[in-house]
Amino acid sequence: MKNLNLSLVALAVIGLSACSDGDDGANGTNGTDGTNGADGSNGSNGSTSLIVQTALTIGDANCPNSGVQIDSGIDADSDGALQTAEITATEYVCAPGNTEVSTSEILTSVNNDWFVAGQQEITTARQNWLNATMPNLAASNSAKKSAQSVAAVNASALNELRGSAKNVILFVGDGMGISTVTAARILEGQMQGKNGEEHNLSFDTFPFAGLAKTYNVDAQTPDSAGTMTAMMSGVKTDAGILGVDENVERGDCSTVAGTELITALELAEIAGKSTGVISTARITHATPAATYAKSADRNWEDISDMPEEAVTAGCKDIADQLVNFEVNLEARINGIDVDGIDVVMGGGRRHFLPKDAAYNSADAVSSVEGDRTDGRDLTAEWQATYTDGVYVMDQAGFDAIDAANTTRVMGLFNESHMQYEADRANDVAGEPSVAEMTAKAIDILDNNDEGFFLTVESGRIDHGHHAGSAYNALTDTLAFSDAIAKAVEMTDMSDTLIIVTADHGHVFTIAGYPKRGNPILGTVVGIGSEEPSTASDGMPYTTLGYTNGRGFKNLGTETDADAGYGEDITAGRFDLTDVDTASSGFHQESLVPTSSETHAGEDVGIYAYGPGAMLVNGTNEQSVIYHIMDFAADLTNKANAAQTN
Amino acid sequence: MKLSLPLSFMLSSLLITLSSAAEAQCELSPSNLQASYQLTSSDNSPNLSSKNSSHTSQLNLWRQGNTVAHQYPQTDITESWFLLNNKQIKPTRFFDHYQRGIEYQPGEVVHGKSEHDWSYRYQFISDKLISQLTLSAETGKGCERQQVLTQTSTNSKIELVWLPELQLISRFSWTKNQGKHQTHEQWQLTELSHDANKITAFFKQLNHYNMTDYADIGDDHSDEFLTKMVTLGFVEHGASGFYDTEGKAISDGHSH
Repeated sequence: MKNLNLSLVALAVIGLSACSDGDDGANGTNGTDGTNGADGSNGSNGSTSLIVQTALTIGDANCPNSGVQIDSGIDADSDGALQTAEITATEYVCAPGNTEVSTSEILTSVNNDWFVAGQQEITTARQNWLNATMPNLAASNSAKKSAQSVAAVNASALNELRGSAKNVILFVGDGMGISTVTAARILEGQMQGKNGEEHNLSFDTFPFAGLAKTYNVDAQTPDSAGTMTAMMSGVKTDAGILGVDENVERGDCSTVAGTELITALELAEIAGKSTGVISTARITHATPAATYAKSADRNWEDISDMPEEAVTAGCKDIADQLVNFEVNLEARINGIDVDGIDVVMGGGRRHFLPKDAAYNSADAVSSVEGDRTDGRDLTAEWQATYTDGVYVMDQAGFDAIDAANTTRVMGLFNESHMQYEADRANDVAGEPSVAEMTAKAIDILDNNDEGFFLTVESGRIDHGHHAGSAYNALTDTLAFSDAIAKAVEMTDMSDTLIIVTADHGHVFTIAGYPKRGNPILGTVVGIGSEEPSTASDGMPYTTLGYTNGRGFKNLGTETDADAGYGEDITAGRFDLTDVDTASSGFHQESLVPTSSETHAGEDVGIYAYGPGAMLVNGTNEQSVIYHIMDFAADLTNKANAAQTN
Repeated sequence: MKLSLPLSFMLSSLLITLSSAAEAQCELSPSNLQASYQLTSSDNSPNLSSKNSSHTSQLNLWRQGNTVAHQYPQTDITESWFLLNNKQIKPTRFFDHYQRGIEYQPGEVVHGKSEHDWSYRYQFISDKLISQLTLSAETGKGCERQQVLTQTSTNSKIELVWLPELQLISRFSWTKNQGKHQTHEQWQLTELSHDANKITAFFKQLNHYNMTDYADIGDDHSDEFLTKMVTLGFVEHGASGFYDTEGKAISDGHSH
């Protein structure tokens, strides 16, 4: 302790004058003042006052950020030190608190790239939110706004958000569950020479995301018909049925009347927007069909697939409903005038052609390509109805489409499903990629000033998984990501809402403890090791695998996952020591033997970009996607307005 | 036409109405026919409980244009292949008892084998294998012309009686010896028909089956047939082809 004698105060002793005694009498007059006596002797010295300053370190109870404690008192015992008992006052002078931490003080955090990237993500997320919810505020110094004014602006902006999306594009990766997105991201990164895990697919960078619960009304693990109906109509329904509610009994035509749901695509049509449906599966397959068809059974793709009683009862097959979409919609809803779906592209030509070899296309892969048993050629009927329309069936026809001057296209590029992306080069007459179809569709649809509504399905991700081929599922996911990137590139986020999601997941896992950058299609190699990890059976195992399905296949360079269906079911473990698990023909092991790998009941991601994207957050019923699209593009109100005009 | 007579006699009957000019060349189309074979295999392996195991089955070959079908009556399964203009081959498998079928993409691998050799499915025996055999005799004219082709090695012997005009096996035998163990397989043509109505009716019946694209098998687990299809008696590897002395398919170098 440091003692300081700041001052010494001397006390003066003042002498008093004396008076003589006498009888009591009248008081005499006061005598004159006597002379001052001699000065008394000096008094003894007074006590010393002491002040003691004590430096306080960071964390002190009174000065958390450090400072000085000032004790003062009389040095009663004159020992020159201020004893505790002598302290009569204590004051503190505290240092101000630190509002910033220097990089030198927390080197292990703020100088870390992950930490910096995380900070930037917060900044980006905040800006995304401001841009989405209160664009006017975001442009000003938002920090100066009071909470009250922010809330007011927020509410106002939210109200203005309705209808702000002129265009809507819904991308559905069939079977593209969370693990598929993760594995595809890693694969694409590794194909670019990265470790992979840090890479982003095109929609990974979308500003808003949430989760969707995928169950059907009657099924814990869903199918595409029920899930896409939920997304397109806002109503969850049963598995296996399209565009109708849960009151329909699957396969029973007589139960359909009165259960028909209206879809977002139909609302967009009524509202005067251009509309389009794209799929790499058959265009009559469940996911694309849920945008335009009402059917008691997803399998009624053409009339030959329907039971006689359903045909007699007046139910129409799905291909018929696509070609006659315009007249059917106008018949169902009074007072509307629509012009039909403008762009239709996918596979499934067989359901549009008669079962007669005379109608075979140039790239037919069957002796009789068509399946229709009613003798109708729906492609001809479509062309007769839409004389301005362009019908194409191969790459050359697709390439020849002049998007700027074309208003209507029907492209049926395969007898059945279109090819897996990895197998596309093997197509007989050639067919476009999903990215090429997306770009062409946008080029055509955006000629309408009222905007457009487009759905794009990557249908064969699902098929790759069903066959137990991660290679095909993931390479189709990458092609799908490319299509989404193309849509982002070709549209303006200020007026186009893009939602990317899946209808359901698969029992597809990313397992074990592979080290960073380990080939995602390879066997597990642990951290710090160069040799494959082995299971308790002594054999290596792949990172990717399936809970059920047909199991291990080693088909070498085969790029068609469905080749696995020609092989026996081989669930369980196999020695993969000398197997190239990254080859296109490798099918992952499965645990439970089933005729094909199955869907999963897990949630799927919803990724959103553009006006209304901020409505995507949290965990939702899958049907929320319809409501977000409806809100962002104000489809119902615009359709109602068109109906009454 | 049901035949139990020697093939030469059968062909003579078929051609008896042909003109003399036609005798020099065959006017019957190899691309529209139905042929029935009796398949006999025997095995005297000392490991078998029955020292002389023998098995007989029937196999029907159907051709119509660029489509060929192999019908297995014992298992109620028919396999069919369609040759595309670009030479790709599209397989289809029919389950006759269920009147259901599974369609595959052209060129895809079924049972580990990618279809590239049309002759193998069209004739049961590939052109490549035929080219490796030695012509030992040739008789007849026109549709009757037949060749005897053989290949003999230390442990095996192959003999093929071949009808080149019809691109058809008349008889095929293969004997393999391994010590005291001998296996023998023989295919014998028993019936040949060019009845267009019969052939058309056969393929028309197949075309009316309820077909499923192989890729859709996983879509619908409510369909019991699809769920169980893999246990319904898929044709085993190489059932419609021949094997070399190592037991490998000897169609054209493909191995299963």
